[in-house]
Amino acid sequence: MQFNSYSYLLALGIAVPLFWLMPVRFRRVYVLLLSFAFYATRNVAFLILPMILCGIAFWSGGRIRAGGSDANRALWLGIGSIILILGVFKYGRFVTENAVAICRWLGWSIQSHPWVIALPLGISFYSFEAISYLLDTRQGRVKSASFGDLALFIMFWPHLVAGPIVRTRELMPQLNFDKPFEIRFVFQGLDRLLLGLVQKNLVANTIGGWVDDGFVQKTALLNTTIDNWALAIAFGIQIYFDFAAYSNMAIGTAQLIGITLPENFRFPYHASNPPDFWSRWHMTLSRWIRDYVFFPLNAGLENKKLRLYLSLVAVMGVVGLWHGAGWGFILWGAMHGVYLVAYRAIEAWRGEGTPQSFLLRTSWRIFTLAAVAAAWVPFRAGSIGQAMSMLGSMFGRLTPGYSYSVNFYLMVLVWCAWIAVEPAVGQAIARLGTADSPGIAGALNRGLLRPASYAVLLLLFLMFDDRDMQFIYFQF
Amino acid sequence: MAQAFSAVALAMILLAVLLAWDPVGQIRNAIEKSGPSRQDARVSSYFTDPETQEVSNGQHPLASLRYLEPQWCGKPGEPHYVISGNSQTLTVVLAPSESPSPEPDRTYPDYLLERLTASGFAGRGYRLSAPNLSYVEVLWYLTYLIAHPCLTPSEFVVQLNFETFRKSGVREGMLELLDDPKFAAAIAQESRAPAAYSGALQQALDKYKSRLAKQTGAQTGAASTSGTGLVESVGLGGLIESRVRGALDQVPAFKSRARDKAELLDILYLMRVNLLGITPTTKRSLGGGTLTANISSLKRIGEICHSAGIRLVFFNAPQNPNAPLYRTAADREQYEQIVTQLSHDEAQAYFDFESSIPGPLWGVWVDGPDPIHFGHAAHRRFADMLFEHDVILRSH
Repeated sequence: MQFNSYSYLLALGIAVPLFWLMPVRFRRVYVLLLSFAFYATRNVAFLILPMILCGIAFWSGGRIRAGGSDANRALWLGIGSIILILGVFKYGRFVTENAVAICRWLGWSIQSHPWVIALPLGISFYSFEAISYLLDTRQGRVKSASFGDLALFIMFWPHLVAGPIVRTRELMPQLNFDKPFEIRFVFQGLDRLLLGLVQKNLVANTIGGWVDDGFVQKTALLNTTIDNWALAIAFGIQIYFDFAAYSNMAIGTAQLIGITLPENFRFPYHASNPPDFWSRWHMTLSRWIRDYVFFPLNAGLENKKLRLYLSLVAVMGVVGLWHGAGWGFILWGAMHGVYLVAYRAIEAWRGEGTPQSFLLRTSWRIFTLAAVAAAWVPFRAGSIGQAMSMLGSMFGRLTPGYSYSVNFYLMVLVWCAWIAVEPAVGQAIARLGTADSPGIAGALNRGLLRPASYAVLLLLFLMFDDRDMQFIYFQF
Repeated sequence: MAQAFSAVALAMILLAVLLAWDPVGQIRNAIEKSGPSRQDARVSSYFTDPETQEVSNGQHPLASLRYLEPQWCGKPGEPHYVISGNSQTLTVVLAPSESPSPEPDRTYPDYLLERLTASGFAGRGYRLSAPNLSYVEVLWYLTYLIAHPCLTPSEFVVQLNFETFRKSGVREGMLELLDDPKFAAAIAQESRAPAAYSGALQQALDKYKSRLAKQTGAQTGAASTSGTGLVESVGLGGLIESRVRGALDQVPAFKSRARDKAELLDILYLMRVNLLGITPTTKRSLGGGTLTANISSLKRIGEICHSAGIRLVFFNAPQNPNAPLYRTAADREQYEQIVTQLSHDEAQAYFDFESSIPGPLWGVWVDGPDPIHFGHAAHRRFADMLFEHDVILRSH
């Protein structure tokens, strides 16, 4: 069941009022059952894996809390088991194929068999959440948790499939569901949910058709320089609206039952430099990597620049690998690592904290946009060869002309323009007030403005509805 | 909580009103009225004959070709020709001096067949055209004809047009030909060829598979391309979704959402034409992957015709002298070079009719002279020209 499916919206329309009408003591079980049902609608068998991960995390967490010499062993055993499971399911095929390729390159005759293990939906997300539970427990941030608490934390359906990746300490305390009903939960939830539905159907799916056509392996080799730039930007638009849509729907769904999930996007294409991009794009993954991987690995390396920079590129390569088992994802991550290193190195050379001139700020802004767009090419391309061919045409082997309908290029321009004004539009809407504003403003907002906006957004969602258009981040 | 319920209920009522009232259509009509009037003299009533034309014009060609097969099978040894081309072959746009005809209008392939028949031609002709037909689509059609021996023509006439080299891919309506297993196998083989056209064919196959999967309720999309090679099961979610959609589709207002979308896209098109001034006749250069894919399609058409013993004829289509499609002189030169080379390498015969229709006989479209469509008189005149130049051999 997808967030942008009619059945989900219908189910939500029944599940949310029931949640608020039932006594608080039943809500935890109710939400856990809803979460199981939500995941099971994809494949009942897939429920086994998150439950196994919960079991591992629960066992390790208990040992860690018990303290003593066992704590560290339990921590690494837990993390190792989770990574092993993630590796088998997500990277087994990739590792096998590459191992076979290397063996053949060395001249060894190897018989390979196709890797046939299903990729359970959302495994990358709930694995990271299970690891974050163990690390938070080790750091003493989680005092106690029953198996039910842990299952609810991991399986909570709004964030289960594609995030936002939550920290134990920010979600678990909310899972008592003891907040009294407030009207703002409904309006804030619906705002985000409907915005997400429109972002997905109107923007991501529409532009995605063009992107799919342009990235077909054989077609892509014929693209001109303008085509490849337009396609790279178009994919940047598609993945932003697709993932931001999912995050909005997840945050909106949780908000409907009074739960606040962390934000995942903050106008990423308005970033002023590469580090700023990562503080705006998939924010919950960035902070997870920063807090649980980068900082622990690089503690004390402030004066060892080269090691720090290499580590940054390697960590970003791992971020790429997290997205998918393919060299294109690794290259995407590594490119971002190089951007981050370039920025840090130049800033270090200029002198940390030295104010940037307008020209330098503008240059970094333009560089960031172009560099992010270029990095989307290996992320989306079917192979490294295709990515290299497209990047070659974008930067070196310039070819004139354009291959696609003028509507495609116009659509890219229109959505670029929208992205440019998006924060201003958001601010303008915020100035109209909220549904819980006092007096006539609030009443007008609740009674007319919001229902009318919802009707228009629903109309747009329905008009551009296309069944089974999945979210890109479902595969990660 | 009552406030929340009432707001949601009001939103649903407003949505029902919007669906029923069709605001998008109202806006579309208002824009259409406020913009430059469409001096569109396109004829709406056409002569149709399923034995000589693909009457759906590319929307549902499978039924047309399945109808044709027994007609042509019944006459072994009889010469058959096929003319393929874009909307010029199937559209009449009245010239300023012309008025609508009381009879359904015919286009030049109809007149040509009439003249051939009157002159004693003992064969059959078929117009296999569609608006904005790309050469990849011409290859698509030819592959279908070759896959069915009865439909394999003795002569295959391809209209060459500057405009057509900018069209790409295979349209949604033509995908249904893949329902035919012989054709599907032939296209699958073509899609593996190391040629520029094969990408478009692969794309068409993928779209067809995806459409089929949606029709049958199978899961498609990101999970299937995750790299594990395994697809999630349809599951309960798919079943529930099918039921919900089935129920909602019974509601008339709900069904109108497709119409609303079409109207919204029409608004965007009108805005493109009226605000940005980008019309279908705006001059553009040739280039990019589309050009390469079209050239490689024509080369493949040449190879297929050669190996199947089909006489391949290319003709350079008439162009309105008052509305040239070329943006620069270099565009024209490039086009001429392409056409000359292709004709020399691939075709048994080539005719250049680019300047054959005088300006006054051409139609008028949104923003002035129509570059590719002409009126009654020009269709007759052009059919005569094709006849007199022996584009179709009268004796085989």
